[in-house]
Amino acid sequence: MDNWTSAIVVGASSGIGEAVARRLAAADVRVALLARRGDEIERIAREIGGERAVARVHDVRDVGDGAGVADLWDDIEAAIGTVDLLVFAAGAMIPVGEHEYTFAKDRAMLEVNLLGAAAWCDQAAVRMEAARRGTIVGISSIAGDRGRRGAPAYAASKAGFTTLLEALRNRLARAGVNVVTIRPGFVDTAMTRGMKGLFWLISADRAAAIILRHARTGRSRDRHVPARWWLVSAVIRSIPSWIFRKLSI
Amino acid sequence: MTPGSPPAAPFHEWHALAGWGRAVWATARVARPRAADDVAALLAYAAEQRRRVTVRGAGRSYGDAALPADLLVLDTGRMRRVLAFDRDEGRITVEPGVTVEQLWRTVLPAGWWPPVVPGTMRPTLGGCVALNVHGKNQYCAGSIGEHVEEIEIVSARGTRRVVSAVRDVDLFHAVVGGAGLLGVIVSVTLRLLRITSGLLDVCAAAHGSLDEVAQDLDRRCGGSDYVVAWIDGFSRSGRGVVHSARHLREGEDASGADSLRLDAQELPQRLLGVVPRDRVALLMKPFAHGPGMRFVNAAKYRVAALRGEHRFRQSLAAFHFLLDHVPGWRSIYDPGGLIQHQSFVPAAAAAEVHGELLAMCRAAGIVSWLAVCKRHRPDAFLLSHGIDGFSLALDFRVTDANRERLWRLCGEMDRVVLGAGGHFYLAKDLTASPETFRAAYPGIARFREWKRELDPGGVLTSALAERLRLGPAQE
Repeated sequence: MDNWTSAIVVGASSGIGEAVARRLAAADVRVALLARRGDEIERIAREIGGERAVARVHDVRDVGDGAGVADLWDDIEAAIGTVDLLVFAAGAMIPVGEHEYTFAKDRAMLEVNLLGAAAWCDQAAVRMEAARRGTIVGISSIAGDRGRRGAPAYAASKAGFTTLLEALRNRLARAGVNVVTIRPGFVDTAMTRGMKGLFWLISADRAAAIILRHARTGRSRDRHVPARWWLVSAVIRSIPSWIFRKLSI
Repeated sequence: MTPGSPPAAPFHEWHALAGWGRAVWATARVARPRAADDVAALLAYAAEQRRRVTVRGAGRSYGDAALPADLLVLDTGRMRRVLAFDRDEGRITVEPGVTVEQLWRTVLPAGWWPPVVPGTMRPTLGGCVALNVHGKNQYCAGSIGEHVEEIEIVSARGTRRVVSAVRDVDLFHAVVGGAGLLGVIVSVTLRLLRITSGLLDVCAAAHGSLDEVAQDLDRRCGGSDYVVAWIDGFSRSGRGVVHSARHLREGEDASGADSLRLDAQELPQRLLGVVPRDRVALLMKPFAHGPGMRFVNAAKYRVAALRGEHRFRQSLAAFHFLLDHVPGWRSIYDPGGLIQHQSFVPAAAAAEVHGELLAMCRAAGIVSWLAVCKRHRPDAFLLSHGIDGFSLALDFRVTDANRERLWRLCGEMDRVVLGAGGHFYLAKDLTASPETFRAAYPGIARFREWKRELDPGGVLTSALAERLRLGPAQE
C-alpha cells in the first residue's frame, strides 16, 4: 500500500481531477493542482486550504519539448516536497460531426490526451525510476477500446494513452514504481453533461474514491471504474469489425 | 532527430541513470557530444544555466562516480574515433568514448595490447583515465595513467589544454584519477605493450587459507605478468584460488601470429564447454541467496582444489575480461543491485586486515558473494588508490532490508582499512564518508587547489564529488 506525501494532479479544475485532488488533500497528501483555468484551481486550492494545496496554471497543449514540464515539476517540488504521485486527469473531447475531418480539432485532442500525457508521464517516470518508488495514475477511457466512428481522434488518443501507460507499467515495475491505468465509464462531469444515452452514471467523487483505492494498493494495474464496465468493454472489444461498423455505437 | 526537425536543446535526452551496481540511481538530462568543440559549447550552456555537469563514459563505475549531482550529464560515448595509431612505435591517440574493447580490437592485429585493462572491456578510455583504473598487473605495470603520454582536456571554462605526463607533471597527476572533476578528457594518448602472441600461459592453484593465498599471490608476482586471486568469502579459512599469467615470448606460441587475429580472441560461447553464455545468469538465479552462493563458492574452490595446480593457455580477452563472460550477471543482484567495497592495504598488514574484514562480514551476516584479491604498487597520482600492498574487492548484494546495515558495515570496514594506512578506489566506492576519504588521501588538498584554479565555479561535479565533498569551496 502506497502512502503518498505529495501529488501532482494535472487537470484538477473540474471532474475526476478535482475530486481526486480533494480526496488526496483530505488524506493529508500535499497536492499541486494544475489546469488551464487559474481561477478554478485557485478557488479549489483555497477550499482545500492551508499548505496542503498549491495551484499552478498550466496548459497541457503547451508542453513543447517537455522542458517546461520539468521546470514546473521542480517549482512544485520546491513548494510541496518530492512528488510521489502523478495523476494525469486532463482530457479533451471535442465533438466532431459525422462527416467532419477537422485536423485542428483532432490535433487539440491528441495534444492534450496523448502528447500532454506523455510529457507528464515521462517526467514522472524518469524521476520515479531514479527514486525507486512512486505512482503514476492515468485517467484513460474505454473509448480507446475501439475506433468508433463518432470520435476517431479521441478514441485514438485514449488508445495511445492506454498503451503508453501499459508500456510504462511494464518498464517501471522493476523500479518499484506503480503505473495505474483507469478506464472510467460514464462519470457525471462537464465532459458528459448533455450527452444522451448515459447509463451507470456515477459522481466524480465516487469515481475518485475508486481510483484512489486501486492506486493505493501499490499494485500496478489496469482497471475499469466502476468494475462492471469491464464487461461492457469485453463485449465491445469482441465484436468483429464487420459488425462493429454497422452499429451505431 | 528526423531531417527537417528543429535542433534539439542541449542536454535534451532524459534518462534514469544508475551506477554499474544499480544500487544508486539519478535522474539525468544527457548530452552526447560528437567532438571536443561540442564539449566546450555544452559546458558553456551549463554555466549559463547555472547548472553543474557530470561527465560519464560507459557508466561502468560501480558507485556514483558517473552519476549527476545536478541533473546534467555529458556522455562521451559518441566521441569514439581513433585519432592516430602508430603501429611501429605502439602509440595510439583516441577520443574518450573509445572503449577498452574497441582499443584492443584496433591494436591487437598489429601486435600490440593495452598495457593495463580492467576486468571488463566495456569501459571507455576517458573513464579509465579519469578513474586511473588498474588491471591484474598493477603490481608491475601500475595503473593506466602510468602509460598515458598525454591527454587533452576541456576545462570548465571551455578552454582546450594538452596535459603532458612529462611537461605538466603536477597537473597530469591531478587530472588522471581526478574523476572527471578538473576537466573533460577529450583525447588520450597511450603507449601500448608489444606482444607476439594473443595467448597467455596461465597457472591456477588452490590454497586452503588466506595466508597461503596471499603468500602465493606475492610469490607469483615475481615471474608473472598478471596475478589475481579469488577468495571464498563464506569460508572462515579464507581459502581461494590464485591465477597467474604471463605473455608468451617469441617462439613459445606455435600458432604464431594466428593468435593475434581477432577471431582467436572471441570469448567462449559456452561456459565450461556446456552452458551457453547468455543462459548462465538465468541458471545462477536459483542460487542468488546466501546459502546458494555459499554452495557456489565452495564448489568453485573444491573443483580447483581437486584439479590441483594446473597450467593452461588462454586468450588475452578470455583471461582479462572475466566480467564479460556472463552477459547479464548483474541480474542475480536484482532488484536492489550490488556494491563493491574495495580496500587497498599495505603489504605487511594486508593478510591480517583482509582476514578481519571477511570476519566482520560474516559476523554482520552480510557475506560477499564474490571476493577478489590483487597485488599493487604505489604511484604518484593525487587521488591514487595504488599502494605497496594488496587489495580486496568484495561484492555485496543490496536489499531494502540490508541496505542500512551494509552501509554501516562498509563504514566499519573503512575504519579498519584506514587504521592500517589503507586506500580506497573511486571507481568502486559508494559508501565512504568525506572524513574517511580525506583521511585516506593527503593529496586532496593539492587536488582542491587545482580544482579552484581550473573550475572555480565547480561546474564539473558528480554525485560522488558531492558525497565526498570534492568541490572547490568544500573542505
